[in-house]
Amino acid sequence: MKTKIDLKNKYLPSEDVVARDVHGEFIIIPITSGIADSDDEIFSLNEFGRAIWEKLDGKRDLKGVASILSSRFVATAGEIENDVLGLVDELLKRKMVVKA
Amino acid sequence: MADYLTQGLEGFSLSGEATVELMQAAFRKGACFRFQVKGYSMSPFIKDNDIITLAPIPFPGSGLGKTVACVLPANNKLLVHRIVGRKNGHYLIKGDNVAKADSLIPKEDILGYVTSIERGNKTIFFSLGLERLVIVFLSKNNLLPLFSSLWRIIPGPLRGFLKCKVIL
Repeated sequence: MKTKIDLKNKYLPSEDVVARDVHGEFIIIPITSGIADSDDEIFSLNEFGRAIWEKLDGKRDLKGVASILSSRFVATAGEIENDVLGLVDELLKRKMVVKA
Repeated sequence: MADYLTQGLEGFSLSGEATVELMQAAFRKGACFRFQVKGYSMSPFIKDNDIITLAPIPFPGSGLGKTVACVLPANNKLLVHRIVGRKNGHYLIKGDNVAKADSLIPKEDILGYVTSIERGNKTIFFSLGLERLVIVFLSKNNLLPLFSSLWRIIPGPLRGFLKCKVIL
């Protein structure tokens, strides 16, 4: 079933991930079947992705996240909103974030 | 969507320090941690580029013979070596393929213990039975490399039988 992502929704990082800044790289390792697999299932977020991740606190909706980022990144509000939706969709599919 | 999220690490590998940090974060959540090891100090049981899975402590039993991950206080280096002795609540750890034991490690510096080893596409059964005491004896006396050489000349069928029944 496809999950509908909406700018009015709020999300937060899943309890089932290990997320850390490692020497400037933002690393996420999902915990699947009780194992954090740093060999096959390790992900990194770029600067923009990390900025989104850090704003996903379960209190702020995605519109609010995009609004904050628009003051930091040079892009139109629409582009930023699309990128936020795109990344959160990807994170949701990989069970790295959950809906608040 | 642009590549805001990338699978794998492009252009860098995790340092020992970073591995420890991620491992500890996983253990705090009660999860096991799987990663690729480098080096030959635990050969023949763990070889360079094997992938091991570690479970958080406490481990069942005394710990003697178990292969554990710990950080050496002297140099902050991550080691995956075997417990070959105990003294005053500390563990003596040693690489099976290293002549000298590392040092006595406080119990709290043990991060986790190895539960499985993968080599190529095969998962190697990692014995946790009483035979580990034999392995401790061989390791302590630096006999494991010799044992490993002898192992190679044992005919295949007998080796298979021994693997199932005795050691690995």
